Amino acid sequence: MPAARAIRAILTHDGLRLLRDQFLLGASLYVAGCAIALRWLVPWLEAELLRENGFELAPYVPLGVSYFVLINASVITGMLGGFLLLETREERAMQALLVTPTPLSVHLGTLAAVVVTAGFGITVVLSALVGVGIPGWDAVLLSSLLGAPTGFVMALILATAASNKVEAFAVMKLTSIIGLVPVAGSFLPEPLQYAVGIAPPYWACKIWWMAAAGESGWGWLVVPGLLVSAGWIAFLLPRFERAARR
Amino acid sequence: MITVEDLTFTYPGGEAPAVSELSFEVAEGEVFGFLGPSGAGKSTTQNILIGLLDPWQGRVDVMGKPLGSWGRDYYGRIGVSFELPNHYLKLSARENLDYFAAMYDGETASPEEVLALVGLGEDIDKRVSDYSKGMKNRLNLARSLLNHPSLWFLDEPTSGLDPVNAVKVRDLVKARQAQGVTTVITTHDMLIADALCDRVGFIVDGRLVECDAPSALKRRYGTREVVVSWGSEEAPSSARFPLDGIGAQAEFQRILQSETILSLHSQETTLEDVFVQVTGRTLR
Repeated sequence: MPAARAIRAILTHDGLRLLRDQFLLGASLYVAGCAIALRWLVPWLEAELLRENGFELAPYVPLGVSYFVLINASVITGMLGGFLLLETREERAMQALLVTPTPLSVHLGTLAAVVVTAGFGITVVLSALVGVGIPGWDAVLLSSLLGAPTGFVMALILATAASNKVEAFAVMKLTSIIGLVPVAGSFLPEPLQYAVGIAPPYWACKIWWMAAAGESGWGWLVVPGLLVSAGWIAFLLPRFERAARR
Repeated sequence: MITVEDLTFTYPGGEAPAVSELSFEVAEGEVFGFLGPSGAGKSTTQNILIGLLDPWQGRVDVMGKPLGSWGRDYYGRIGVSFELPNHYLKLSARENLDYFAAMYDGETASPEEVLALVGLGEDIDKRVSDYSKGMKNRLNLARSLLNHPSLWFLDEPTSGLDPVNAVKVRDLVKARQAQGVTTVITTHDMLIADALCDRVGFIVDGRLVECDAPSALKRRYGTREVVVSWGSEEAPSSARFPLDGIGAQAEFQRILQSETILSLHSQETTLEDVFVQVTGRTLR
């Protein structure tokens, strides 16, 4: 099957490009570093705050952990995918790809599959690694799956809004706000809180927080979560395709 | 091979059309050149022909079918070498070519094969980031040959190349022509156009103002005269004589026989002179 050959080549060559880029390699290690640090830091901080200030950190731990594990994993995988996509545009290789029989949808589809799979896998592994502030595994798996498309949204934002790596760093600063929106929104009362659901990772985080607090009835959050991610992707894809042809 | 009638295209937000009512034909096996200054509409025309720009008005048939009715299989039949390098810089030439070869359905040439054609065989495993501009341009050419195209589009194929490699490119185009490949070249290099093209089209401000064989254009716009200078270096004399019937020109014969000739030049025109005469513009 010709598409299978193209997809194999995309996976192999994107992997090579990632391994040969010190910045991207470092960024992929950052998430793992955060998770390992959290495993030791959270229990220590919890104990210290309670002993020194009488402050009960425990209710806020799932909130913090969800940011560092759930949001960071998908944002960082999205950033890696976005940089690879942007580099393809910046080095004008995109122009050469557009005049081959393999359509752009195969490249974007492969990238989306890799980013979503990696985002999901990394979130699950990191959840096991952190070990604190983690809900039950049913909620971990569902929120990891729901949060993973955020990575592809991030990749498209980065590769569409920026036209070179310098601009990409500025865009990254802006998109990092998207990661903080769900955390900030969690302090709002419901249903006002749902307004921040425009940020794709909110719904995955909400499942995480509810399950960690021992609440039930979070299954329905999958529906708005999927709709928001799909909406962002539908909004960004044609814009990226136009940028790719410039 | 290519038939274009009344092709008009305006960029989104553009006030004037980038190409306007363009009509021309390219025969099978022909090397056809688009000549014109920067911004004249040459690359726009090429980008329409390779399916990167739309919507346009007019009629464009390529390889016996309307351009719009071709699917992605069109790219299995054509090769495109862009003006600017477009490669993955962190990958070697071999890795780049392996990658692009995987994007084709049919049989493709090996990286070794196409790199040897452009004189990059020894640099096959060097990262493209370590290539010079000329090497990157030659890699563009190599990549455009991966799928054995029957229609080959070259945008400024000798840009950034030294004279030796420019000759190699010229020979490569000639060799492909001998194999039946049709080539469309976009350039502002009159020498390469003169040496390579069977016919050239002059594009200025998006319009095709002249289209013919370089030799025919030079004949049509050239001056059939000889200029002779003679006498001393300090105070030379000179005169012009028409080429037609020059053997019977008594004065010309006298000068040749009795004077000290300083120079003797026929006044053949160049393609660049023709371009200036036709368009009133230079190519820069």
